[in-house]
Amino acid sequence: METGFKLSGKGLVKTYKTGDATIQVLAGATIEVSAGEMVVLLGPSGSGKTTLLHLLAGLEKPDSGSVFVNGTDIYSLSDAKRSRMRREQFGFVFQSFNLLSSMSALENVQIPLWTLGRKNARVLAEEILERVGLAHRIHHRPGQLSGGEQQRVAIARALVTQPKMVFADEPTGNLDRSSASSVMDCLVSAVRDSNAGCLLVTHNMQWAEVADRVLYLVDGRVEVERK
Amino acid sequence: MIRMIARLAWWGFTRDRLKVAFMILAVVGGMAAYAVLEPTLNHVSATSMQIWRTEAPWDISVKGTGVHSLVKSLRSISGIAAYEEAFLFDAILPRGQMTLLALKGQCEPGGGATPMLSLECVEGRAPSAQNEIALTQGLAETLGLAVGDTVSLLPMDGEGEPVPFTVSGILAAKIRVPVFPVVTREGASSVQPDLAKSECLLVALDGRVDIAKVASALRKLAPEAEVVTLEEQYKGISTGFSYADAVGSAAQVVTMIVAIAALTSLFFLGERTKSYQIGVLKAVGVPSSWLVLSSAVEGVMTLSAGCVLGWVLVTQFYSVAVPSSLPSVVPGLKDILRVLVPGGAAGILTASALVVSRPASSLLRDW
Repeated sequence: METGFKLSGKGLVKTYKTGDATIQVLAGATIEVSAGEMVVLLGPSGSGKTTLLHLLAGLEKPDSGSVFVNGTDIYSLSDAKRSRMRREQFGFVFQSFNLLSSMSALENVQIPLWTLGRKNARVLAEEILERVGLAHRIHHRPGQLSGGEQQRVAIARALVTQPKMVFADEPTGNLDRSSASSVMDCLVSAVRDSNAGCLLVTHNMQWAEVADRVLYLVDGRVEVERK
Repeated sequence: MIRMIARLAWWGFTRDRLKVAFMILAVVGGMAAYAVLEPTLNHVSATSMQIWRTEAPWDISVKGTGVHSLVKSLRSISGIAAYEEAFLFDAILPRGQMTLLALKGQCEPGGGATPMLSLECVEGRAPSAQNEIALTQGLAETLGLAVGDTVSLLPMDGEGEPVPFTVSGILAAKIRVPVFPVVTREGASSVQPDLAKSECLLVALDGRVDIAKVASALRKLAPEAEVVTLEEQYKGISTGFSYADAVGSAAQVVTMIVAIAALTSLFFLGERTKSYQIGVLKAVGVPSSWLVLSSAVEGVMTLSAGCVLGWVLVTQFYSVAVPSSLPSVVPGLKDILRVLVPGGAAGILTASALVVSRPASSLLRDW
């Protein structure tokens, strides 16, 4: 297991206001993920898993608490530096695939590479799409792909830059059982091959078996941890 | 960075065709509305201001031997809307002395504008032969004359025989129709043998220029001539034009605001519909500034396409859609581009910044 990369969130609190109501989603959550480690975060719908993932990924600032990447508080960085950190070190797989509908599979996978200014973007994108079994679908747009295929494109997009950390938010939530297994196999093997850390957020207990560690989010805190 | 911004802008421009088409339509519509509005309002106000010309359809008369030769020099004086080469002379009618008018021919500086004088008759027609005369309605009633009757004119010096004229028509009591009896040039010569003394330039101003300045310029051109200004009449016209200009400017500003607001709204809605896309791009590390810039570039491309198309359509179809008497539309288009392009770009930039400034997590929830 690589020890050069460590992501940690400490005492994370997040509250949302909807009209007169105030909902505390996270109440001091603390979590740590290292490179090469597959962590599954379980919790019921609405428990704040996605919010915790967004906070850890630098997408949304916590009300209090800190997120550290290799000891650097990411919310002390400017927006531009945080964006740079995301494009260089993080990869994302969303429940709704979140592919850009006007672009082909190949273009969707090339986006992070273009953002990094990689000149061999097309070759790298083609290679990874081949690895996830979509070599024959590279010029198809998301609307022309099945849900499972779209999520494979999303996995390719997340891993094409060889990130240190992959955030996967309910990656099988919108898929049928057969596609879900196939996509999860694809994700786990791709993450293992790249030796990245991975935080997989799900309410499906079935995926606990792929984890190095399983965490539970209960009442806004990461309370239970088991090997 | 530049390549990425260009790519995103190009995709937005070429792959969201419906939004782009609507935005181009908004630009074209704004340009067309503005372009047609300006000359139309000017034309309407110029026409309606004629009602203030109660004494005569002109504002300045320049009378003297050889003043017709000054016509070419009139172009150097700004603020002259129209002019007429005519003859104004006095003669004795059965009821006493009266001023008569004879036209040399109708003409306009630059051409295309509304004629200064009209010889519209409520009965009969304008004189066309040497012995024909058109009377005003009031004079015809006073003298008890109708079309076909004869009236005699006696030269002012009282020498010579009375010259008989047949009434060819009764002039309408309308704007631009002279309030003097009208004869032909030949008819005028028969009553006034030395007609050169009666040469006259009748000048209508645009309502915005200072009448005293124009009169002064005309006096310099023709020091020997008699320059008469109808200042009281012109005061009413000037005031009317001030109001008309204010209304016209307000209408144009409203048109601009509507066009820019339409562009901004369409772009904002377009950006909102792809907020998840912006969220994904932010999540994968595309900086907000790149996203705003790419949206701005996309907006400018759309704006430019709309301007080019609008310019072509308006200039090509303007002459078909509106009367040929209206002035060219091109100066108005230049004005609209000066306002629409920076205004539209600022609106688009603001709309884009509003969307992009939202946190990625919030944008992703819009999926």
